[in-house]
Amino acid sequence: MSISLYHYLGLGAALFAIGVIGVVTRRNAIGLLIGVELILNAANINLVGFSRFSGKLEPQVFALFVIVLAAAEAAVALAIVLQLFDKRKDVDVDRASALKG
Amino acid sequence: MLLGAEAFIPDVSALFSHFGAEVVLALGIPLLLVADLFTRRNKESVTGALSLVLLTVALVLGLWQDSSSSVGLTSLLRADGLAKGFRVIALASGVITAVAALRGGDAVRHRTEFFVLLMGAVLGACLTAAANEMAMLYLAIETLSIAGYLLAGFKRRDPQGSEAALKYIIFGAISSGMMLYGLTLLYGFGGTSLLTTPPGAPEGTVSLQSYLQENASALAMKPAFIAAVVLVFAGLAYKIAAAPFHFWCPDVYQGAPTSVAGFLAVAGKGAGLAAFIRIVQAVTGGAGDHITDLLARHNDVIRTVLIGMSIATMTIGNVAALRQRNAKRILAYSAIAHAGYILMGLTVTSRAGATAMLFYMGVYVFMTFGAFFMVALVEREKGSCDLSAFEGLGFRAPFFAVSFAIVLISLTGLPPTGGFWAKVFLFEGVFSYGGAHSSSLYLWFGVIGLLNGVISLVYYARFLKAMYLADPEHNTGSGLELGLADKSMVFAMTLPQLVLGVMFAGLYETAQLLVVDLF
Repeated sequence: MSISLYHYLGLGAALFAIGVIGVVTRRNAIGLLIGVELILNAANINLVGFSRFSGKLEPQVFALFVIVLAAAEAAVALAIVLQLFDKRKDVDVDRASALKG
Repeated sequence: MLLGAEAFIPDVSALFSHFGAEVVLALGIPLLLVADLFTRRNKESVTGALSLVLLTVALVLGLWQDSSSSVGLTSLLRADGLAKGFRVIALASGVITAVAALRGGDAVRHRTEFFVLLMGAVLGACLTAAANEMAMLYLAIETLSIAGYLLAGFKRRDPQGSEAALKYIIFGAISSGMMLYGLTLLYGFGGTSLLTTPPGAPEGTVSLQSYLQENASALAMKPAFIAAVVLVFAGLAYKIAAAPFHFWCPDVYQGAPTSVAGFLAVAGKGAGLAAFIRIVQAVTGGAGDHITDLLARHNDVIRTVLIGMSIATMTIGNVAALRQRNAKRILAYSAIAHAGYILMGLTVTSRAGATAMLFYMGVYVFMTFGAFFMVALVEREKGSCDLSAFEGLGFRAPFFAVSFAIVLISLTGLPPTGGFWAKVFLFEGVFSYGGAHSSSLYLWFGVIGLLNGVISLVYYARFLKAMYLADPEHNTGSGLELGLADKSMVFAMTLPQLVLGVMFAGLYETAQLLVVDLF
């Protein structure tokens, strides 16, 4: 069986679904961020698949942008999580509830 | 030149005449960091003043920028009227935020980083308004967002500040991930990453919009295509604080420094709306003779999604605001409700709708910054922004109370203020669309919008009641100690409401000219 575009898209969709389930069920901030990474990489797999089957380089460049931005976002997110951890000794997003109403 | 290398050397004069503001911001950011290294004393005031100057220069350039030729340097960015209009809004909110931060109304010691991040966020907002390509759009939105996450958490000693930043980044990362996944699917459908085709683009340029026009039967009404569009809408809904991605909004506005809350409300919303207009234009194929029956039904589905989002957003915002006591949270829910109103302009997918949206944002800059700034003044003087802090201010601080009342009337959308005309144009668009297409959906939509206006009157009137009708015992005592700078800022935010209430035609005509090559 040869690998078709739909295998790439299927893998992407599966990763996306796992990522969404992860962010919906996880309460730990780090767990949420891992879910987000899965969503971003699902998009990357789509792009790589499109590049492989259209012969264009555009999607690969797009994927490189995504990788760089994901790293930047993760760095900022971890810094914010660390700052909150310093104050509360806890990274549970449900217990971050000083702001309510 | 050898090997066609001239293609890689930017045409400097074109770059400057179309994207002068962005160039100033991009060069200004490293300049600010270097200036910080070479100043010894009073770093914050030096770099803060420098960033204010740079932002003002960028604003002036933005106002004078050439939007006549709507093709940019490449098709990645468009220097059209839409980009110009929302760029001016982003730059103006950057200038106001820098002034408010320098005035120290936030009770946070601002450091050079604050101004660097502010300029980065403004740059991201300007690029988002101009982006016409998927990777560019994602890059621009992330530039705005990542700087925004850090700005929101700038009250570092305050646990509320870090919590606000955490909520902002978690929701932001999830929704931008969804948007990205939707964009990659849209790329796959069209085989092109361009959103719209600028007039004057090279022959054979394919954009999502032109591909959809020519291959409507392949894409229109396909569930997977609609699903991809909805995912992209989800990411943009987060940026403009529309339901169901609005949860972060009250917490972030309360926990962030007040000037930043105003910035996120205005520049974030403006940039998100510009991208929203561009995306809707691309995924509906625009307007014109090419609209077949199939494409028309496809567009009806997309418009219905937008109507649902608009109704949910305004209703949730207004109803949730009713049970709040904290002024900042009331303003946050009112910002959500306003996102719902502005989406009304998008649901008619026409030039008139886009004009009304741009006009609304033009008024919204002053309403929102005015309201946030005045709440920040009360918080500074009274140590709280609970509704009770406003009691009796109508007698103890008459100038403040009258200005605040004008801003509230404008936010409600009553004459004689600019907010009234902003709402009139939006509702007119919806009702005339409903009349022209004899669509009862649009008529009901307009009626729900009007009912929402009535609900909003209830919570805005609570401020007026606290200021003017509280127990007489609150009417004496010390007022607010406002300096000349505070008063002139209040005046500068209030006056435009009244001026635009009378002379709305000029702004409307400007907005009309700016959106002339849309849809």
